[in-house]
Amino acid sequence: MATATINVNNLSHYYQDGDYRRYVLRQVNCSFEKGRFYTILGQSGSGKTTFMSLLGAMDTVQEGEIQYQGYSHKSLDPNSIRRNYTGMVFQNYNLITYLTALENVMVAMEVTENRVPEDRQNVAYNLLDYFGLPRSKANRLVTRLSGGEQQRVSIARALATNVDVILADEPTGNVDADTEDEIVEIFKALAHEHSKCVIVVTHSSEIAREADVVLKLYKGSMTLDE
Amino acid sequence: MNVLQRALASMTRKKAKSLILLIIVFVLGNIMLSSLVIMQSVDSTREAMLRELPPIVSMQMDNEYIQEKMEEVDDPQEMDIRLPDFDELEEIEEAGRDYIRAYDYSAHGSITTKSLDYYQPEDESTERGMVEDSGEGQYFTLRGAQIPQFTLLEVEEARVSQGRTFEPQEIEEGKPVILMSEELAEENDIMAGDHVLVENKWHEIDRPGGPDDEPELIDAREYEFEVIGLLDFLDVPGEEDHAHGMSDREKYQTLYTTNGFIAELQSDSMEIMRDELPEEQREMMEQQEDIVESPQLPVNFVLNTSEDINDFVDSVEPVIEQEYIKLSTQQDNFQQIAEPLESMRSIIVYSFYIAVGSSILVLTLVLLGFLKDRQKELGIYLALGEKKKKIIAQVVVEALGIGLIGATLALFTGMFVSDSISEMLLATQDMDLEEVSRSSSIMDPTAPRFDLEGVMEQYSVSLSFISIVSYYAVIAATTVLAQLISSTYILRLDPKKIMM
Ligand SMILES: Nc1ncnc2c1ncn2[C@@H]1O[C@H](COP(=O)(O)OP(=O)(O)OP(=O)(O)O)[C@@H](O)[C@H]1O
Ligand SMILES: [Mg+2]
Repeated sequence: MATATINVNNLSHYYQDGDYRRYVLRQVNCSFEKGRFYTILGQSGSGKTTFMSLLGAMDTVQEGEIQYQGYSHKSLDPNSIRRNYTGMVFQNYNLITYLTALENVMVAMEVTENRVPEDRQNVAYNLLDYFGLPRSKANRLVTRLSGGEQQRVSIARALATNVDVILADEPTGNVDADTEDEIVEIFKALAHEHSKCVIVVTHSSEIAREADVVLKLYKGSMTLDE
Repeated sequence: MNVLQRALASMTRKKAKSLILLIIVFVLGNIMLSSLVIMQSVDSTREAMLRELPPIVSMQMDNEYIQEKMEEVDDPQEMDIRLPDFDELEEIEEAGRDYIRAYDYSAHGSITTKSLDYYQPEDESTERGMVEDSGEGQYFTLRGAQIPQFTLLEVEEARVSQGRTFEPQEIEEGKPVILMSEELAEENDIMAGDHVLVENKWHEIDRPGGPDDEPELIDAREYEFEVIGLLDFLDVPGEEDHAHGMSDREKYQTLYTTNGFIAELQSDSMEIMRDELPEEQREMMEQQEDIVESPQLPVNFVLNTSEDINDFVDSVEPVIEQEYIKLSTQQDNFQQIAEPLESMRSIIVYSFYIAVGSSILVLTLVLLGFLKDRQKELGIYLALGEKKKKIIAQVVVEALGIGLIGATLALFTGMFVSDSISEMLLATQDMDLEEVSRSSSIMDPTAPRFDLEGVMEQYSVSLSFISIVSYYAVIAATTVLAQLISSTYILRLDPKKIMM
């Protein structure tokens, strides 16, 4: 078997409750491949965000291991995982408010060490345009864009760094149903047309229906939902 | 969007924050700049004044220090007050060789003669006149010189108006050549080039029949002087403020000759007096002979330029072994006479440090507030995998950029501010200074040669290139330091908490 894009081995995670370790994840094992659209379902408080933050190196792995293209997280600097391996999309967009849509995308292009094309500005414009943001909107401060538009900017930002993995934690939580559909289409296209590994946490079974693989997090364990 | 572009965007687009920071830096900049301007104005006034003064450092007894010690010590006899001898003088000369052009000291002597008349200033009442001719002859002071351009000439207290000054050879051989004031020469119908026959008389010191008794004449010898030149005494700035004492009149009555000749005269008198003295006193006299082995203080070092004064003092001070000897310079006088300026300067120095210190504090707090306000943005950079040092670099560039703009704006207003601060501070200073007493010795080249009024006239607010550079450096250092301190906040940020 070829090396998976992300391999999760015996990943456990706990939060300290006084002297007591409350485990949120127990011995999770799973792997994620490029070109596939994954969704993770689970009740509120089941540990979805915790899991995503570990994949995105936003939190430190306590027990077990995550491999990125075969490299153990232990051998990688969390910062470099964030800038070179994963791109994150958040529920509340998390864009830099005093920058334009274009500039937000270009910040990420500057930070990554992955190869990005020379004419960054054009690439960024095209990327935004591809997500339905023409130049006039690309040059707007992000605070003057709608929620759906902002979320598309943040997807463009995650993608602009040429990472293989797009992690999205409830990306449609703040948008209406139509926009949700559009965004899901984008994720599908990213996986299928641009061969990204797309992992989306959601409450929505509608989104899950669109996914190639659906994972369920329950009582700390990850199970495949056939 | 690299760090610089981000910084620029942040500075220009978050206008309210930039403006707040700008105003703070502008105010602080005004305080710092005016401090620097005042410091520099005092310094450059001092420099300008000192530059015009003769480049002389004078080695003298430190009388104030001796006085202090006397009170501390039980037995003043134990204090080892010794004059530096010629060997030590040589050492000092060696240590300061790079700066010394020449050095001069002046042996003291006197003659009592009937061959010369006193000069009596016209405006002075005869009551205050010196000594009535008591039949013993007039008493004249002799002052020696060690170099042709001796101190009196060097400090421009007098100039040779007729004839010439000493030849180096005359000094070396201790020739009986003299210079005297024009006034004294006129009184005695003497011209430069004249030879004067002077009879020096020695009288018995003890007057057996009390003070009214005519002292007995012991011996008299004739000396032939050549009057080589006449001296015109010049007005010294600052002099009119200070008491015209004996010293001032004495300068007209003094005969200026070579140190060598004074030494010769002294050994003559020693010889004569010794025979007259009782046994015990003779011993004392022999001890006193040692004094001749030391140059008469003050020894005045004439330096190449007045800019060398501090360097000279620094390099020579370690060589001076006697703790009761000090080097005095015009600098000391400036400190004393221009006290209002100097104390203004020290007030400003303190307030400068306080200003810098509180600026760092204020800026740190303000910038920390700004960072907390930007928590989200900082979290985004971290989530994107930006290195923390780059994030810190961005905020430092922002603070520095606005800091320098604020500093530049303050540059325009700071001059006016410092002008009015100077005026305010000087107005509150007590200008009626205690009169700084002029040294009683006319040959003291370190007597103040300026007065407060003159100093104040010279004082003007000025700003040199160096001060502008250091002003910018201080502002830059302050903002950068404040931003770095507050940036410890960035180090503690946890992107997960902020973002997820
Ligand atoms: N920093 C923390 N400290 C302590 N406990 C935490 C912390 N973060 C999360 N938890 C707890 O861990 C559990 C899992 O939280 P997590 O945020 O991963 O759930 P989630 O599946 O994302 O829920 P939701 O669907 O509501 O977003 C919850 O019980 C939560 O209270
Ligand atoms: Mg969650």
